[in-house]
Amino acid sequence: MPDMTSQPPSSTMSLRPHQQEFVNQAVNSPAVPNRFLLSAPPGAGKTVTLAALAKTLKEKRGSLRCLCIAPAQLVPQWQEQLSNFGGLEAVAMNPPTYRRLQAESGAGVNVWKTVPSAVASIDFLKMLGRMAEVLEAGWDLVLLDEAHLSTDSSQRGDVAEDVWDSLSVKLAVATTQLLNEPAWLAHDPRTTNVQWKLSDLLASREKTQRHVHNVFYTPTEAERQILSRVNQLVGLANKDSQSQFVARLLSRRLSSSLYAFEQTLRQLLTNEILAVVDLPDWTQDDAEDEADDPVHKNPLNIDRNAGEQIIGLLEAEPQDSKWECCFQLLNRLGIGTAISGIIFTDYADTAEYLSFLAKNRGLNIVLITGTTSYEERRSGLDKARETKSLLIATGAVEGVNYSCTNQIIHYDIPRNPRTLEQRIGRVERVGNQFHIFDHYYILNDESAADKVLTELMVKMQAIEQAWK
Amino acid sequence: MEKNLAQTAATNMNDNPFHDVGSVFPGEVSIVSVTPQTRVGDALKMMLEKRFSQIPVMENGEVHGVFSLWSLAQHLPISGASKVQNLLEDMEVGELMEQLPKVTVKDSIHSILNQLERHEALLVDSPHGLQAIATSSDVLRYFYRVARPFILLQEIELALRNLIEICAPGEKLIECINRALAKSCQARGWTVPTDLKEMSFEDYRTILTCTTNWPLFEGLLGHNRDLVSAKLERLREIRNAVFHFRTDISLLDHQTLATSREWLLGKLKRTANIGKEQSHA
Repeated sequence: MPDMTSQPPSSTMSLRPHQQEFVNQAVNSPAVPNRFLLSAPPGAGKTVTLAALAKTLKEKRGSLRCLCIAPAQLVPQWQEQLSNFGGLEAVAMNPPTYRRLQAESGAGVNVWKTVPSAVASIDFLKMLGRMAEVLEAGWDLVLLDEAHLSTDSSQRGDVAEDVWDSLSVKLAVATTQLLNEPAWLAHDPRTTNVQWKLSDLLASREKTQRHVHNVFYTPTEAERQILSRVNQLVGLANKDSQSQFVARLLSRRLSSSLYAFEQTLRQLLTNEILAVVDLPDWTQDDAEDEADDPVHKNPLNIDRNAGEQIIGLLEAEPQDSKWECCFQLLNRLGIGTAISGIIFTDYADTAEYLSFLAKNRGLNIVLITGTTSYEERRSGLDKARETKSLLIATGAVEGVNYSCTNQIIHYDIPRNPRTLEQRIGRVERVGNQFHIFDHYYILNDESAADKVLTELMVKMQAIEQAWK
Repeated sequence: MEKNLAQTAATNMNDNPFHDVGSVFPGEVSIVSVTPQTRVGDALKMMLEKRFSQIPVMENGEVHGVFSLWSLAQHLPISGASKVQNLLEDMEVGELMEQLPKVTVKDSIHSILNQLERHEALLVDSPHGLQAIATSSDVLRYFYRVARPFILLQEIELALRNLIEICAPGEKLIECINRALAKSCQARGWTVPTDLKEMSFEDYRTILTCTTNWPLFEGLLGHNRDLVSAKLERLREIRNAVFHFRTDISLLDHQTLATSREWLLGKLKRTANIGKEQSHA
C-alpha cells in the first residue's frame, strides 16, 4: 500500500530498492505471458510498487490497459492509488456502473473494452460467465490484490485461475500477505515467485527494538457488575452459531470500550429497524472485523430484559476506568501535545468515542477509520506530521503509513495475530525514522487479558519469523 | 465527517446529482424468466415460490412479454371458472402475456413514477438485453433508503427537544439555555434564543451536556456524561453529513441513527410512565 507520509507525489515518486527491483524485474522479464506472485508482509508498500509498475509500463508503451481485481472494500482505494501514483484513470466497475455502460453501448459491444482501465471486486467478477467477457477485452496488466483469499477450490480461485490462464493478459501480478499462498498459485510453473523479507524492509535500521509495556487498569464496581452480567448473558446463549456469534460480539465489544459495547447492545435490541432496510453491503466499515457477519440481516433473539438491565447498569456508571487509565498514559507520555502517538482499536465505534474524549481533553486528534477517504487520510497524516498529534485508527485500515510515531497504544487486543501484524506493519515500516518502538497494551487487571496477549505475541512472532 | 470510500465507486460513472433508474439497483440483479411454452401452472408455481407477481417471458435472450397475475386475471373471465384447471395445465404463458413499458437505467426516477401507477412493473432494458424489472416496491425501497437518515434525524432531533422540555420545564429551561448558550451568543453578538424551536441540533447538544445543566438531565440520560456527549457528537457529525449532502453515510452511521432513535424513544417512554405513575399517585 502507498507510503503516504513518506512518498512524494507520483511525478517524483521514488521507490525503495526492493520495490524498484521488482518493478524492473516485471518490466524487463521476457516471458510472455508473464505471471508474478509477490509475497510481502503488511506495510511493505505493495500498492505503491504496483502503481509505479503501471506508471512505468504506461510511459514505456505510451498507453496501458490495466485491470485491478481487489477485495470489495479496497476497490475505491485502488482506484485512487492508481490515479495518484500510477497516472491511470480507472473506472470502478460495480453492478450499477456496469449496467449504465451496457445501456450506453451498442448490442454486442464488450463494455470492458469501452473503459481504459478498471478496478473491480473479485466478488463482482466471479459471477458466472463474466470473466470470459472481461478477459476477452484484453489487458496489458492485471493486478490481483490479496490473492491469498483466492483459494484453489473457491469461486474467487476460479477468477485468479482464469487470469493466470488467459493469453490476452500480458502481465499479471498477484499479491499476498501470507507467504506463498495460495499454494496453487505459488506452485504454478508459470509463476515467478518474489518474496520481500523483513530484512529488505528493515535493512537501514537493523537495530530496531520493540518494547512491550502492559498497562493495567482496575475496573470500577459497576464495570465489574456489567462484565459479570454480560458473561452471564453470554453463558446462557444457545449453542447455535448465531447465538454464539452474538455472545462473542458482545464480549469483544465490551473488552474494547463501553461505548462500542453499548452501541452494539442497542443495535441488537433494535434489529427490527435495520432488518427492513436494504443497505448495500459495500457500505460496511472495513475496520469492523465482524463485518462479514450480517447482523443487520438476521434479527437476533437476545433477552431484552437482560439487555436493558445491562444498559441500566452502564448508564448508572459515571466513569470509564479504561479510558481514564489510557488518558493518564497519554498525559504521562505527552502524546497529542508534546509528541505524536497512535491508538489502535479494532472497532470504529471505539475510535469515534476515543476521538471525542481525547479532543474534549484538549489533545490534537487525527481519526482514521475504514470510512475515511484517501484525501482526508492524507490531510490527517499531514497534520500529524506537522503538529504533535494523537492518531486514532482502526487496525484493519490498509494503505496507511503511520511512520510519524514510535509510541503505539493498543486500546484493545486483536483476536487474530494477523490484525496485530497489520497494526505493527503500519507503524514499524519503511520510512519510519525511529529505531525504538514502544507498544502499550491497556489491560484489565482482573481479567486474563495478559495471558491472551502473551499467546497472541507468540503467534505473531511465528508469523514474523516466517518473513525473516 | 468522513467520506464513505465506497461512495467513490458508486458514483464513479454516475457523478451527477440526479436519481435515475440505475440507482434503484445497487447490487447484482438475477433475472428469472420463463419461455413462451411454459405451462401457466408451472409459471404460477415458480412465481409463488419466489413471491413474484410477474415474470418475463424470454427466448434466446429476447423478451417476448411478461406473464403476470394481471395478465392471468384478464384472461380468467374469458376462460370461465370451470376451465381454470385446463388453463393451468394446457395453456402456455405465451398466450397470456402482457406488454410492459421499457425504460433504461439512465431514465430519471421521476419519469417512471407515472408509468408505475399504470403498470405493476417496468422492464429495464439495454442493447445488451433485459437488466432488471422495476416494481413500485423496488422504487419504494430505494426512496426509503434515501429518506431514512432524514426521517431518523427528524425523530432524534424532536425527541431531544422533548427531553429538554421535560427535564427543564418553564423557568428552568431559560436558565439552562442561558448557562449553555449565552456566552457564545454574546460573543457573536447574537440574541440568546428562548424557544427550543428556534435552535439547532448543536444548541440542543450544548444545553444537554453543559456541565452545570447536567444534573437536570443525568437522572434520565445516565450518569456518564462522556458517553452521552460522545453519542450526541457523533449524531451531530452524521446530521451535518446528511443535511449538507456531503456523502452517502456508512452502514455504521445508519446503525448509529437507528440505535439513537431507540435510545431516545426509550427515554421518552420512561418519562411518560413516570408521569402516569405520578398522576395516579
